[in-house]
Amino acid sequence: MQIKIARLSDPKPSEITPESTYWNRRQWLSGLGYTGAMLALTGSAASAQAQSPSPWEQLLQQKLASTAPDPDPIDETLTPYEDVIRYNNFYEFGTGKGDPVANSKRFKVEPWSVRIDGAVQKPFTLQLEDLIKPHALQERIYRFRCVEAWSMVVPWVGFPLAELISRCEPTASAKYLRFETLVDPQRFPAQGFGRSTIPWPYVEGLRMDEAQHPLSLMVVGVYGKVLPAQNGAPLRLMVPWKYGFKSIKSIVRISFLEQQPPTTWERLASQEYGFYANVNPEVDHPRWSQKRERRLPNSLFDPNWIPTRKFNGYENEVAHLYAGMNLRKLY
Amino acid sequence: MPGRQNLLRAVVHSLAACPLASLLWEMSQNQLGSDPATYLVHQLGFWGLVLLWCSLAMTPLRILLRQPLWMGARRPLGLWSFFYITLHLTAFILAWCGLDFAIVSEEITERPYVILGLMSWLLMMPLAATSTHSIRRRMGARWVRLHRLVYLIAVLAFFHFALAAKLEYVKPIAFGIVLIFLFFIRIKARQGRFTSIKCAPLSLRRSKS
Repeated sequence: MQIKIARLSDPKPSEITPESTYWNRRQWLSGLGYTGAMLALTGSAASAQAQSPSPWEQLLQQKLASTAPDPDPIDETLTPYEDVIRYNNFYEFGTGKGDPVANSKRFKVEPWSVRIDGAVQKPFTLQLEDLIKPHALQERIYRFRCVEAWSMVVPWVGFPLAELISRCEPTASAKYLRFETLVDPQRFPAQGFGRSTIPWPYVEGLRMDEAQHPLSLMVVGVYGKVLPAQNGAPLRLMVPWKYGFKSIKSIVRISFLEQQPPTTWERLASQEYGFYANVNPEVDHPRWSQKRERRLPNSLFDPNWIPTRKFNGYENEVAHLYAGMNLRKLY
Repeated sequence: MPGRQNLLRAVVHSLAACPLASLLWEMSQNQLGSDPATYLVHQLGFWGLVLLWCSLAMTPLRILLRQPLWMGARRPLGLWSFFYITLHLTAFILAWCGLDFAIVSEEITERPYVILGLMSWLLMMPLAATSTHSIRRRMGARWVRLHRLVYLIAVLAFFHFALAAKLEYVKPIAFGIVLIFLFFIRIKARQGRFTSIKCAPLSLRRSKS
């Protein structure tokens, strides 16, 4: 069994950062220059606010500037930033793929805090700034496979969930984690009366050993930038060997539990979506195939179908977590 | 009367062409989004369904508004619907499946909603083929019986649409409610409600022509 994170100390120079990521950073920096110039020219209240980012955002910007590169980047073409931020499933903003980017323009992160409770030494609340302060950020280039059979390759920025878990001081009885997304129709318009499609809050869960796996990431950025609202600002989960809906966005509460928590999609359609939701080409969704995926970007002339891999290609890293389990039943 | 009939047809044709024109424009501007084939297939299917529902609404409109003029829009709406659904299927095979016959055959044999959709489209073919006035006149009462298939087509299309959605239930429910309402008016009309000379049950009027 090879644990990839063990090679962190010794990456080959050529593997440190793919060129495309490098160039995207450059583009972003020049973009920042333009934004700065634009803001200087306009004197509106909105731009004044943007000119003086809150302490949280200043801290995050500083940290993003010293992000450690992915120690072991996968050798696959990155999905362009444009696609990553405009093709999203985030029902708090609407059910269409374009709804999140369209309906999140006025989303404000602050005020934001994360409640830690359940089987911990002492429940507490973390303000956003305090939450990210102790963690060094790392880039992780992960495959992202949606249960709807499309996929992306995304350079996320974040820190291991395991680091956050140890700060929470869970007790010995903590066997599961339960995550909760913010409920606020002011910030999430599709949570408003008459527009809701699913019960709120959105809830996801992981087994403790899954959550502590080195691949499990708390994400605060993407492509070297602050995580946009439509991608789950300010804090989201990323568990790359599971279907995308497990990677809950805009987290406000993490509870440590003794029992497996019921999750949103499980409650909505347990025949179609299980608690584990590990990417598995051998187990089809009842209404569509999971054997292959449409890797974005694609075009009208080439849907770019590729075979789906077990555990989304992370079998070597995570298969041991499920040894002896019947993954057809525990899908 | 013929003038108003022509005006109605012109309006129907121009409105029915709008979604396609908009899609072609988006295509030319590279504005179909991050997974263009999926978007195209969904849009074509959605508008085909809307137009099918519109064609089904013409008889109830005639009954409710006591205005036979609406019947002139039924045929163009049905044909436009068939046209959109044919494009929907073509885009599905060419762009979405990428003309990969392993994928096409798997989708057709294993996905219930794909089978329902395909059945619905196949049943539309004889209706489209017998849509001209001369064939209709020659077929007489058999034409009426054949074209009652549209009710089955609509029900199949509805379940195709509803089953394909992941959770988007607002649109399927809306289509379902409208369909039930349209069927309800026809049933009531057959039972003798809304009777007047203008609004005699459709089958009686047709068999005279």
